[in-house]
Amino acid sequence: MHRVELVGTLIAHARSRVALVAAAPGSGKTSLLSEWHADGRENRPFAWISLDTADNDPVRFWDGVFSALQRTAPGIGGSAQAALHSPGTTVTDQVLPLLINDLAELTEPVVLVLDDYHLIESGDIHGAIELLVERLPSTTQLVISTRSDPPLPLSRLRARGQLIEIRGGDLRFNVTEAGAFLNDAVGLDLEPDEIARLHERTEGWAAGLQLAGLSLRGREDHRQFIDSFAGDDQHIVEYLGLEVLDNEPSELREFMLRSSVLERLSGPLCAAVTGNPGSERLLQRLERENAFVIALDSRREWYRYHHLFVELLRHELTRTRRGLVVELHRRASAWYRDAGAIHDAIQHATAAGDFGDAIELITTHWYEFLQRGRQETVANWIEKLPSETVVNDPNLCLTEAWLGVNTGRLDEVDRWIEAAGKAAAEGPGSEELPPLESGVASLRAIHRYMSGNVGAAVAAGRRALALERGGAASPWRPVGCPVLGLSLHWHGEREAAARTLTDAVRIARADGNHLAAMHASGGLAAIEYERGDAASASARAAEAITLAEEHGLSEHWASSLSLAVRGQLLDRTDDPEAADQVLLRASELACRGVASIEIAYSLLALAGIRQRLGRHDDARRIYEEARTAVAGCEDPGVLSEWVARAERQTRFAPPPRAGRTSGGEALSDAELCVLRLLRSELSQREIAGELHLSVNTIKTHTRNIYRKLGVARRAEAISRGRELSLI
Amino acid sequence: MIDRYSRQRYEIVVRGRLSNRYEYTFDGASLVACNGQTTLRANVVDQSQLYGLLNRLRDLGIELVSVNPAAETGDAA
Repeated sequence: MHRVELVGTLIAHARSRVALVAAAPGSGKTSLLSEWHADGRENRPFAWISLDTADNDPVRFWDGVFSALQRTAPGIGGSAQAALHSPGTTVTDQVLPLLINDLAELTEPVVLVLDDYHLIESGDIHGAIELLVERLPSTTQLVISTRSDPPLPLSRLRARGQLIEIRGGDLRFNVTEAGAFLNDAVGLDLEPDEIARLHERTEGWAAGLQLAGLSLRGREDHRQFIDSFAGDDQHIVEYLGLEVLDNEPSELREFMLRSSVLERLSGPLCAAVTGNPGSERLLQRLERENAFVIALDSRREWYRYHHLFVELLRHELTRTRRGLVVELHRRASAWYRDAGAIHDAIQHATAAGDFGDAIELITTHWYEFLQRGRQETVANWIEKLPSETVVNDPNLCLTEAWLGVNTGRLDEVDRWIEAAGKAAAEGPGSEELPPLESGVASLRAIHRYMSGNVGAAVAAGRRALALERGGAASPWRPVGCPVLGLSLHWHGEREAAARTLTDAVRIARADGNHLAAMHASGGLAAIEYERGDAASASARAAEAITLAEEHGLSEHWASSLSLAVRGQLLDRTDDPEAADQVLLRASELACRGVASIEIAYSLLALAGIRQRLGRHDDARRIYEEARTAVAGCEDPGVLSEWVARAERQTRFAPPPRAGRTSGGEALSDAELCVLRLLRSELSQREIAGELHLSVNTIKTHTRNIYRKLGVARRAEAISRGRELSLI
Repeated sequence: MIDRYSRQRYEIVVRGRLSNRYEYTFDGASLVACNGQTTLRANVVDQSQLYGLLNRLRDLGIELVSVNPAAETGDAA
């Protein structure tokens, strides 16, 4: 098909939900998309993301999507991006719904382009893209260019007519296009039969024609070259690529080979790596003359090689200058380190086999990357190091343990803590780095706390604080202090807990660790509540909730503690409905984490309020969940007594008989959300605002709820929903 | 380190003649060209390595004809 027709096809299918451009490298996928973008018939803005391998970190990937969208529609995805950066959020549950709502409200449609999607291997990203495609509003078209088909339900999209596909066969040049390209664009003067033979030999493959054009330019003996090329069965890239490379002046050839170790090229970086001070000029010349480099920005500061060509260059570099490769990576690492680009510095240090340098960079910078939510990036750095190196480096073991704590993979944490302790005992410590022993003890305290062993958490937490070398500079202190305080509280040492948590709030605030400060304030609120001091409890809970709201922590499981206290306080002020709402939210948040103690605490509070609201079956079910959570703890401290007390005091109803649920159609998650809000005084418009949905959507949901519950009015829906324990 | 894993031998046939210059980059696979096709014989430790190899072929724009496990015949000839 002609290029111009392909663009026409894409424009004609502007209402297809997904446009897939899947073909081998060098087929002209990106060029086709650029031509489409530039075409006068297309007036939608393009939000364009050129992906690279570092985008396998979901936070970096979605940040890229948001920035690209914001360049086309300022302000879009602001709240989604804030959610992305909040600890404890998941992309599919919290970030995507916000983004989808923003997209739905766009007044002008937009095209979202994910170029080079084959570089994405992250299952998290694939899953989120699948969900995005499923719910994509009609204002947005998703375009994916890739060398391999993405793991999306393509056949379903195809069957629904929601997919337009451009594939390798479509992208091949026909003989007329090949002639136009060679004679007009490259400026050759070839005979029709020569063009036909080149077209046949390259099978219309864009990169093949381009390489052929470059080989022929500046040659007199066109016919002879075409004869030998057409009569040879050597692979085109090898035959022509080396031909082109060999014909370049030696300075340029050497420059291209040496700079091929880089993912991105800039004048200063290339000068440092290749040793050629004229790198800036050479890059411009390459772009002008042979189109092997592509500018990445309009200021002509950063470039990259054409994907296909860079592979060939790397092959040649490795084959002919094998000993130089390590040195080139080493220079690149040093340049990036000086430029403050830590991720690239680590990548090149690892590629050079300079694991010591990589470890030093990781040890110095992992914490700041984690604080920005870039866990996958840090995990990937360590993954690329030899496993013997990792287990023998106490700092890397600690980082692994911390990654495990952050992602809730508790079963791995203990192994890494033990490895860190062992490696620390064997190797020399460093005066510049945070004290290892206290790091090991702090993480052990966190691990024991999360896995429900408060006695062991207290012991480890005390040891961590005792091991601190005095100064407040250690990053472990703000982390270890709250955990010790909370553990003391559940261990029944209320006064010691209050003192430690008061210190913890101060230290964490001074350190700017809002998560630790919030968690510690929540703990203080719980203590004041137990003491019976409602005013102080309320003030402490408010403090924690404000911190959570100000620093995007409202979705973090650790914010459940303060909400659980607030809910119990509301219950005392005779507002059981409001208390129920808050306690339900507290339990949902707690269950996102893995800390059984806090899960049990909020569930017990929720069971209590449900019992008082007369929802006995519900209360029994929730109480059983709390009891199971406590039963799974090695040392639940005071919680085991609290569970027994709740049973004695409230005499929960026996477990409900099976089959008492609705025989009708189940409500969707969205409908359940709406149903919960129907209990309030809010109007449909206000509910729409609350859920970031349109009024029409709310009306549809409400109709479905009424139909499924077999009711006609709001009040009936609420009482029926309660009977079925839906709310 | 090499002997820690048992290796599986694969024969990968691609279109076009590839020269031996690619041996180093394809993880030491041996290359034999014949009739406009090239057979790569590679000993891989697992499926990940095999997929890595296939991806590198893809990234060079090389067309895949077939992938088959081959009987172990001692060293990579």
